[in-house]
Amino acid sequence: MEAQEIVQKILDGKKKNIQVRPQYVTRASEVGFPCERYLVYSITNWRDRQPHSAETELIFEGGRVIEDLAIQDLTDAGFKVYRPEPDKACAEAKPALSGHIDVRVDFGDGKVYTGEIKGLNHIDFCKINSIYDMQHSRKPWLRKYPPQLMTYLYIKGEERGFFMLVDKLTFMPKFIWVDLDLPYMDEILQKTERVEAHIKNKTLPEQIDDPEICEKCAFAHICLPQINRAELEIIIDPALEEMLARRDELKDAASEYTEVDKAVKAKFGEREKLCIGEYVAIGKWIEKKEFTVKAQRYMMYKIQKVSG
Amino acid sequence: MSDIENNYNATENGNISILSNDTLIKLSQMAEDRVKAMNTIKLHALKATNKNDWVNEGGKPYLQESGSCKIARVFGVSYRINPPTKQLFSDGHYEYIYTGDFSLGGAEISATGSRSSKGDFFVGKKDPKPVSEIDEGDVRKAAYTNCIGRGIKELLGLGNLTWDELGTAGIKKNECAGFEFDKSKQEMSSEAKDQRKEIAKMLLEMADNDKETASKLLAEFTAFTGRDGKEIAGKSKLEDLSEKAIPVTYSKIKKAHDEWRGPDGSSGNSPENT
Repeated sequence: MEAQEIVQKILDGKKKNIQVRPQYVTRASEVGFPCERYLVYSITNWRDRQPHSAETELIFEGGRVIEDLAIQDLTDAGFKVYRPEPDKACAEAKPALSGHIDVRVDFGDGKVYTGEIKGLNHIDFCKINSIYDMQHSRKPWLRKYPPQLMTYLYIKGEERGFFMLVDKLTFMPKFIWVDLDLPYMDEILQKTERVEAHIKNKTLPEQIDDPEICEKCAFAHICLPQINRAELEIIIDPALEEMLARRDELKDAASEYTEVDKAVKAKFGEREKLCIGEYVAIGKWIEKKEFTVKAQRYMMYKIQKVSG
Repeated sequence: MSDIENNYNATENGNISILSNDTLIKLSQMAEDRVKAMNTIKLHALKATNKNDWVNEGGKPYLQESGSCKIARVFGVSYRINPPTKQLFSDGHYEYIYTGDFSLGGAEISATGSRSSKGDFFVGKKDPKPVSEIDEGDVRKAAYTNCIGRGIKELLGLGNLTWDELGTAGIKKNECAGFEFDKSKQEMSSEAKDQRKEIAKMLLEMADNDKETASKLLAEFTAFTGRDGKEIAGKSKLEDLSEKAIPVTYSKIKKAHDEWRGPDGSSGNSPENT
């Protein structure tokens, strides 16, 4: 059997495990999703949900394995670990939210803390160090994490919980303590109430205008969102093209210069006057005043040469 | 208005005056630059896809919807899909049809995508499912996906890419899932089968029942000159003729056979000598 065929068989096998299940209330894990129309469809039109792909199922299964490993790590460390059953408090919450807390841990101070375990790719693992980083991530699934944990804390009436992040490359854990933020929680509750009102009144929230989210949405075929994108512009400008080529040529040298320059300065230490072979270096103290960087929005370009 | 546009001087009767040589050179340079840019974009777009986005369909690369969407992101294709229509058939089966408008850089096209509950994918090949067991939502979703895939491919002209072109983006035929059509097992229409029999009969007649000569004659009748001016060798076996090639070959051989027989139906020389 061809290698590709074997992989295809595995993917086909995974497809059999994917099921679309009925949904009656908003899920804590989804409440942070940016589209309220999606949250309404998830309940009113759950049968229409496009099942996720076999590739995504593999990621979910990997996540469950990581969750088990993380719990084992906590147990091995000697902490008291509880794996809660689906929480009754969640189901009885007003507005109704459903959820499943991953873990509750007593780290030794006599208190039991609610935690969410998340496996992240290496880059995200390195980038994410606070719930602010999650809330401001470009990735919608990372933005869903804080509302999920915050909802559990709110429902359980606890002031503090934690994220245990696990690097999918190194399996290194990272802890982020999260304090219940009531104004933030209030926004989540208001959102849930709006979703409930739409379901009750058989209305739909407005569509959002975000191709990144709409195009991958499981309800795109019934929502029929307009996908508006910035078009790729063809610029005929030989001078600019030459500059880009030159930029490319200098790139390696620039990186090397920065590296060597850093190493040289490190060797100088804080000595003011030095003579090294044919070179003389004179240092001067520069006082840098403290200042605050104003919030701003700017375009960041990733420039790459396309060649065959 | 650009220099080039200024050179399009409309006369009073609406005719366009002849462009100056300078303008032609500029236009030609612009066209070259555009082609270069388009090739860069095409390669960049193909590089946005991976082997999982392509399927080997009967030896030809077929871009799946996942890949179409990735490429659409690179180009910045915008689209709007209209609510679907559902067509019911007398046997209880149905078809979902979506239409959509796709645009890029002032170009806009409409595309249609459809899926029928009768499709093999829904009914199954071995034990066909009754229509009641088919998930209508699946048919509808597949029609939606089909419409997006078709619209993007049509707008960007991605329908006829070759494996060589994909190779420049690192996508190899042998790494893509798919299938090759088994030519020997393909069902041929009865009309084509009849014509093939007739071709065999006429060739044998003209070759005095010598199979080897008949085979050579077939190779002569099916040889042709390609677009690049190169001679393409003909087929010496009837079973190698595709269903599409049979009617063309049939009419050529029929004409030669008629000439060979002569107006009174008496047999003559082989077509080589006529």
